[in-house]
Amino acid sequence: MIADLFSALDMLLSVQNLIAIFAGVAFGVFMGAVPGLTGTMGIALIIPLTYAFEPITAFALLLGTYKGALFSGCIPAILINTPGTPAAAATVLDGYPLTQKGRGGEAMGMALWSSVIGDVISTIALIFGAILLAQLATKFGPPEFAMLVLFSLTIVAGVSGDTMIKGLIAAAVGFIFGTVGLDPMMATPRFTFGELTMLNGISLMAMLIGLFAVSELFIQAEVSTALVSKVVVPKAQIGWAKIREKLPTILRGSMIGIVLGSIPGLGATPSAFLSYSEAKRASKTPEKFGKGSLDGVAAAESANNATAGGALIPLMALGVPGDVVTAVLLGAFLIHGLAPGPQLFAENLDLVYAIFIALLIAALMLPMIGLAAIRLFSRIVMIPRYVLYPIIAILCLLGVFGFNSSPTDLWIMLGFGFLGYAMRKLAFPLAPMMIGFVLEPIGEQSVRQALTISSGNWSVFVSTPISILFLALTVLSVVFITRRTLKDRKVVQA
Amino acid sequence: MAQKISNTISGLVLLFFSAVLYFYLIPNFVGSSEAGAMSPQFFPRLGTVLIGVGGLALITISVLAKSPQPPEDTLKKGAVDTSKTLIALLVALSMAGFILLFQWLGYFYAAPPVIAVLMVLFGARNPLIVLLTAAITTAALFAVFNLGLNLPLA
Repeated sequence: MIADLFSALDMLLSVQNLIAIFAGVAFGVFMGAVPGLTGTMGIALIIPLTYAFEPITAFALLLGTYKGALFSGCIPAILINTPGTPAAAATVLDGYPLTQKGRGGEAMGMALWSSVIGDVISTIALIFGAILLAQLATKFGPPEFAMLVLFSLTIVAGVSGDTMIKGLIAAAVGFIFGTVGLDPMMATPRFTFGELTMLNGISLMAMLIGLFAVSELFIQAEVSTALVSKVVVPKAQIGWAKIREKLPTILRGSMIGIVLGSIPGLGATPSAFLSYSEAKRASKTPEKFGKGSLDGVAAAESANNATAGGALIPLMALGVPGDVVTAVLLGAFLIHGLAPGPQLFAENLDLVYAIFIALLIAALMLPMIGLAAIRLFSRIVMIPRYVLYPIIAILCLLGVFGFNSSPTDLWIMLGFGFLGYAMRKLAFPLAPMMIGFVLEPIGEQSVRQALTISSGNWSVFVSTPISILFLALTVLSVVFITRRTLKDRKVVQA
Repeated sequence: MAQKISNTISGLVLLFFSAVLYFYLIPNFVGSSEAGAMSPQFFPRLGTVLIGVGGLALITISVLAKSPQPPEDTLKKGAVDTSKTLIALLVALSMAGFILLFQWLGYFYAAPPVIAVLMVLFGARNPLIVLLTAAITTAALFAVFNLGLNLPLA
């Protein structure tokens, strides 16, 4: 273990990798700070730039982007009442009222340091949680993985959209797209239509850039006016005494973020809102919430950023993504020839440690880059849309082409862009589709291997305590989500 | 009401899609090896059935649901505003144009005109800014991909 740690440090600590982390955090901060751009879109756009990099350099850049975007959504939330990312919506509640009272600098400072503390705590939780879970996962066989995939798909589909039905449909559509290509057991061609390029299946890059970046371009094309004309940016400053005073709120928020982040399908937005409501419930002055409370900002931001470490636990330890960003990151792992999960811990422990250290370094770089971003915010939001979005459009096209040099992939990307646009218009969630696509090969291979081992006996899926546990969790989550959906519908109809 | 209609239409489209998959695409475009414990058609059929059942459920719920006054944001999410989709469609067509020009003529002939058109679609009105940005962006992206990352753009 110590040898692996030194090997990891040796692998990571080069000028190139430190620049990659810095550039990733800076790019992520930019993506999160501009309303309309998101961290998912940023990671999808930056993956093509990593093709030529070593895996550790690529992940330093990608994870830096993830962390940066999680934080910077709060900048426009606090300063202009517009969350830069969906997860920053809870920060608006108290951040903007503080700006209106002339305390925007304090709010920004609190948001920044709550984010950094939440980030560091969640990275430590990731390190211990992932190592423990990966050790447990070495006991997983095909039946356990099959049930785990079933559980993940159900819960992701259930909690991602307005209704469970739309989530399940989206997951099923992603599942169908995942079957394109050679089947994982017998190499039988499926939906290849005689095209050699389709034998490898649908390009993951084409799908994720199409769904998350191109569809967003189409949505943004419909917005006719610029959002912001002029912003007065205060200096982000807050004293250590105030941070110490809010430390219980930050710690509570961090724990909520870690736990909710590690549950498939939940992620940053519900974590921020739950942390906010818990902080309000625990506060001696709950009446101040919503009118400009630093506790509200600290609760939302610490939970929001702490989800990063939580969401990475199932991805790193089991190879199962719990939300869209980790599904995109799983795609990045696969593109670089790596499969996260227990095998990665067994064969590339030094790389795993290097990734963990990179995450910690990214968290520590956040204050420096975050402060600069806050100062530059008035200029960032002034970048004209007519410059930003055409560049993103060409980046999408070149990024997908650069992966396989295949024009077919460009058409596929455009097709998924259309599909994503239509789904968003019709209130179908995109996350279950992406996760269904990514999990299909893992799930199918596990089910077919388990049935081959058991000579076609389906009781193999309830033959071990772990698979029974995942099956029970699946049933419970379906019951819970269905009841909640019915209850919500009754409330709407009442 | 708008959401009910869009859900019903979505359900019908999904039902049609699953029927095409189940009765035409899977039998004709998915091999059926019987070796092993499960046919390669099993998972595509499973996904298809789920889509079909989901579509049917969507129609049923939409038809049976009363017509309450849904919240404003729900209406916005569920309804398709056709007046605004034209610009999105033009952006998509511009991107399709880039792919065709890129295949036929190459990057340097495809990028500048498409960037210029996209800029106009996203609201640029000053021709000088459009021309300069198109030229600079084309050169900068070529430098990043071809020279910096060694990813050939041809």
